[in-house]
Amino acid sequence: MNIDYDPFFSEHREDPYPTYAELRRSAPVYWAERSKTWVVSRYDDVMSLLKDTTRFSSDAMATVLTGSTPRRSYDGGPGAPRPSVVTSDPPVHTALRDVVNRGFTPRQISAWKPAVEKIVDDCVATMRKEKRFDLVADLTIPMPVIVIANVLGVEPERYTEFKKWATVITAGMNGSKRHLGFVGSGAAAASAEMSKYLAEIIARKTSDSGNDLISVLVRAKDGDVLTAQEAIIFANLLLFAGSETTTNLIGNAICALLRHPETLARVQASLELIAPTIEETLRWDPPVHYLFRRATQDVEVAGTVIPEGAIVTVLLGSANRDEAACGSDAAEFDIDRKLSNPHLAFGFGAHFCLGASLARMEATAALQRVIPLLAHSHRTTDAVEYIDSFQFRGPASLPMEWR
Amino acid sequence: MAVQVDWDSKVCSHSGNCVKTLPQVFKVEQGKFVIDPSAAADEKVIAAVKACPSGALKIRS
Repeated sequence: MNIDYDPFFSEHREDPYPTYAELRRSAPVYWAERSKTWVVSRYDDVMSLLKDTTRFSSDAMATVLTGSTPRRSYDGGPGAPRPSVVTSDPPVHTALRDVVNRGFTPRQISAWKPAVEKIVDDCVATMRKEKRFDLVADLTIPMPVIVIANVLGVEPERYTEFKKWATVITAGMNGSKRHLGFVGSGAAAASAEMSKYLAEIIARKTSDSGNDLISVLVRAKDGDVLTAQEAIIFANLLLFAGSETTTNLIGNAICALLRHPETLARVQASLELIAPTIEETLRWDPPVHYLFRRATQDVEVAGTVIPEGAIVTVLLGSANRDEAACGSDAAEFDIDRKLSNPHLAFGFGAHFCLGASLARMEATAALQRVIPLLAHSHRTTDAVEYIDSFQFRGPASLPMEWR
Repeated sequence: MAVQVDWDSKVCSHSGNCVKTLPQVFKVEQGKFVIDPSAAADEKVIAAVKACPSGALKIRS
């Protein structure tokens, strides 16, 4: 088979997995000519790449997605904000991560749990009012946005606006409008609007003494803090990264269960199987399919030299299906699976997802309410349309009807 | 003697992997994270450290 894969021209969006398998088999380090990027697809290579923050810089996350200039060696000019925790490398990243970690401790996440469950209940109450409902529009989209809005201390009523910004940014960054550029697609303007709104909120925060996340991060306690400008960058990131991803995780879990009725029946009978269902969804059909890195020097990966300066697409979605690491039946959805290697849905190493525990908690809260409801409702169509993104994957809608 | 494990609290992302895979070794006691590597075979401890996603756990060499 002649492989024709490109991270931004995915003709395989419906089902990218056969192409991933072909890449792992015959071109583990593949040159995607159209987007000028190397594509790394095997588990072991993905893992080594993610761990190697010296030879692979995360500044590519910004340069590829938003077209900004690389700034690995943050010049640290007085007053200049540090780059975000996603796009920075150690040692800047280590210092930033230490600050933001404080907001995501297990204690913090359990404290948010009752509020999250209440948000899910409110969404379910809305769904019950009509004969037809959409699990995506009525639950998986609003719920994580409202959670993040609560955590940030911003008005949850504005979630439709946040969602609108996030949709425009996604389409321009890694979806159908990418060819228009970050500015031309309107993504830059949406991002600026979001920042302006968050700046107003943060200006208010720094003068009070609240216990919400932003107040904690900007208030000097011990060690480093975020400057107001850095807090805006971080809030922007959270509102975006913390909602889109969780929406797709929950959506993909529901899709996986609907496609595997026997598994669904088992989970309906014993809701404690929700935890392994979430883990297997993260492995089998993750919400984020790839990350970007930039080679800071010539690096040999699986016998191919990736030259200095080259952009590398790190295929998490493929690594998770690698038979060599995840077993010969890696293509199957199996909630009883015992993995000897961790799945890479949340990445690995220094940039491991800050919100992993929050995502698991939110997905658990949502599925605990939704799975019993699936016994009293049915889908109005079997077709699944995916969201407008090449990098993120999840259902755009899941229309249902009460029985 | 059992292998020794170092934990860097600044790097830890609290994913809870270690506590879930080897609860007898990695545990929270009175709000403090404690590691007792002698409570499991070395290879199990080494595997858990290798699977630490943030890289906060390291085998002391």
